[in-house]
Amino acid sequence: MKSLRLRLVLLTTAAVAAVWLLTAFFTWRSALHEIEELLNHPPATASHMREERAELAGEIAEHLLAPMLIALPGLALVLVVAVGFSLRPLRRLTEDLATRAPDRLTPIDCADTPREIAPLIERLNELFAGIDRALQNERRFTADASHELRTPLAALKAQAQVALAAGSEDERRHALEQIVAGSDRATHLLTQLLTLARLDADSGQAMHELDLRPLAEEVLATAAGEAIAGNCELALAEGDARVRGNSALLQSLLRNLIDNALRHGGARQIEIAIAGARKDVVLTVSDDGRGIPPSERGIVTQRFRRGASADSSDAVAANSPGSGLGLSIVSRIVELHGGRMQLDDGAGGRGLTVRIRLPGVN
Amino acid sequence: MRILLVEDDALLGDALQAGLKQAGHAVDWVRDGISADTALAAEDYAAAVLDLGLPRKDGLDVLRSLRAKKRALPVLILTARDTVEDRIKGLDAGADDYLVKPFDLGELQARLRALLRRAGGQPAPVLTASGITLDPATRTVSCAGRTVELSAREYALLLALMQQPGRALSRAQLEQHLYAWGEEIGSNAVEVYIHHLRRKLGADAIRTLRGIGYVVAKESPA
Repeated sequence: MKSLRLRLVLLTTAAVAAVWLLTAFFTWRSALHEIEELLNHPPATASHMREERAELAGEIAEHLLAPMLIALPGLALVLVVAVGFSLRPLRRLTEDLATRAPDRLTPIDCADTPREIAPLIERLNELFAGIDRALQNERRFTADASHELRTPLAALKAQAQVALAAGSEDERRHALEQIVAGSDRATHLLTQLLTLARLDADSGQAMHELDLRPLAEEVLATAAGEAIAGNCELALAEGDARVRGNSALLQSLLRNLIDNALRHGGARQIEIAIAGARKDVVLTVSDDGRGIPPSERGIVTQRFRRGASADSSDAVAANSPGSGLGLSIVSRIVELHGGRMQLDDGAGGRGLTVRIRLPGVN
Repeated sequence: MRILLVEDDALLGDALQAGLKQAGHAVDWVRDGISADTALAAEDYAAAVLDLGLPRKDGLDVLRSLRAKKRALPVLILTARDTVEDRIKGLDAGADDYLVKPFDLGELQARLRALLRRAGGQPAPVLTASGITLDPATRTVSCAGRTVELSAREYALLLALMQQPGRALSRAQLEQHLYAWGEEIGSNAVEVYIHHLRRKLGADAIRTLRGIGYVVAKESPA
């Protein structure tokens, strides 16, 4: 029987019917007996007649009641067993859940379960699958992160050993300078990792209504020095819009996008534009650098994925390798704001345009 | 010896190049898998140090295509992946040795020496020929019981000759051993080094075979 409800109703009805039939049978038998007595020995007087009638009614009631009273505990017992039997799938489920190790997230077998519990198990299985995915992401991320840290550490150690064995002052000096640069890079990687870990842990960032333009101006002002050093022109187009967001996160988003264009895109010109519609605010960062080929646009937001074009042939890119986390951070911040991110060619088919749509406020 | 270094990380590559040079090798450094393929096809290397996570073409693929061409070049893999399965995969793809980052530069140099030794069919860690003893681990050379001081290039040249005693190496082959890309090669640099070596080790240490090259005689069965 696939339905818990049906099973309970049928079992209860059967038990009650059994008691009922038993009672009816006893009542019928005693009534038969009494009526026969009455016919064989009819009462002589009217007062006898009344006595006999009262006695008859009393006896019928008694025979009606006695089996009922006797059968009632039996009925209760039958119901206990019946209900217990009906709820056996629930108990099995509870046992399965109770004996599960916290990391055993395989789905519960929901063949053979009553119709009323099946949706519950399905929901649980969906939940398990979701948690499993999250856990696997977490594990992969930790593994990736530790691997990513190994290379800068290897570089630091090797440079230090080169410095120790250096034959000339110049060689030693070069190695020591590389150690300093390597430490900076490892620090940058750690900072980005921590940022991402915080973004992952805390989806309840405080959101306020804020204007995007002052925020962008602030970020551009702090990036100006690096842009000038890299011979790159930064520009903020006309326009402003109001969004609901977290200013620290949105600053980090812009900072990462500008860093990407500067360091890895080799851009000579970066333009930031804010276009405000009522519901849709579009924040655009476009550059004229190397860009990201369309085939790679889907994966660069994955953690530790660097675009293959951000490789070695360029001296600037080679000397400031990224953490591989910048666009992951951007994408996570966009997600936290309920927005969407899109990567396209830059102006005139060169470089990269990052278009971020955020829900606006009136 | 001429070594190909394939490493995409600028800082680590820089350190490895310097470290391998300190060990007396000529090092060509490329930063991605495709360039590694090109370099391997163009030059005759004594060994390669190969990082696995490379842009454009994965290190394991570089290794597989190298082995598919039946090239026996010793390859030492460097990688951040440290699980047993990763190591098995690397060795099965044709690597001769495997080092997990971060590693000790001294260990890398020693493993390379071991690979080069085995590749040269030279079981003894110390090379002897023509009355000369050369210890690659300590980079010391002795002749007739006394230690001889050699410059880095002189040492590299002698090492190349002593790894294949009895076999002549042409000037071009010796230049290959001595110089990495982009290094200035003097027109008669090899002759100059040979001259220095003969002065330090004795005139008969290295023979000239006219039109063929130079050779260190095998240890005569005394």
